[in-house]
Amino acid sequence: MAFQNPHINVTVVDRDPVRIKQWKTKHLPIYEPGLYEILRIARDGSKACSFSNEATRFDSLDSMSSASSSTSDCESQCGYHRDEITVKARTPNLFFSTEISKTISEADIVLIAVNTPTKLRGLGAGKATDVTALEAVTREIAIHAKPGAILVEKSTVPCRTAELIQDTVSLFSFL
Amino acid sequence: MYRQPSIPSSIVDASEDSLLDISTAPTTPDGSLTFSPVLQALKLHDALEEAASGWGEHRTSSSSLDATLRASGGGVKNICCVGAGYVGELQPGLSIDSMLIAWK
Repeated sequence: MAFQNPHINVTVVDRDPVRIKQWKTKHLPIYEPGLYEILRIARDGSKACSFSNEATRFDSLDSMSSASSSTSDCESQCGYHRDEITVKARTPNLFFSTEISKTISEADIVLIAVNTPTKLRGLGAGKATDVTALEAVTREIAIHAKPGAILVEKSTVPCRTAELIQDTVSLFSFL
Repeated sequence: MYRQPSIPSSIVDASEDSLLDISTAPTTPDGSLTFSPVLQALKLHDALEEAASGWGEHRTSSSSLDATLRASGGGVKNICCVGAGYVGELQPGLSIDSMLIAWK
């Protein structure tokens, strides 16, 4: 989301400072092919660069790759149309923080992506979903989110969780 | 043993296919948005048009994010994602033994 929308600031928050710290390094806490490449650009930004968009010639395949920026010597003779592709510089727009309340209060969209493990004790232990974290986050959002903010429920949750969130938000909005 | 060719293979295949169709019916309805990318694009387009034309009274019932963002007046500047990646690890303070006890 952050990579595709450079004009939007995306802040990922978590109460675990160790995990947040890992997201700021090269050693991410989760593995996904290609994740680090796009995360690095969104998190760290990039410099402006430009390269020519030349068609790859068959007789020079082993000397240059399709992404190469080297110019062709016979450009004028071969008559290729040479496009210059410029990639603008990007400022970082992906951030990681433990300041949950502050970040929620500034957000236009809040995504709830907290853990929902299987319950280990109590009613439904070993089968039901533990929504403790979700309820805690919903409460924080209800207190700190700005009016008109869009809530997106992304965690794996049981049915009618949207109603639970709606009721919680409505309860705190009257306080 | 000599085996005479009796039924053309195309007919046999068709009958086999029909049997397979009965037993392996698709679970996703044709009308579902997730079934066809073309349908999905068309329905999203219709939803956006409906939201744009009927906007002003039913903000909370709109299913279009773009229409909602337009109505909010300024566009989205900040997004907050609560939860930095849970992949099923053990909860702090709990051990394998306690988890096994819970499963009994």
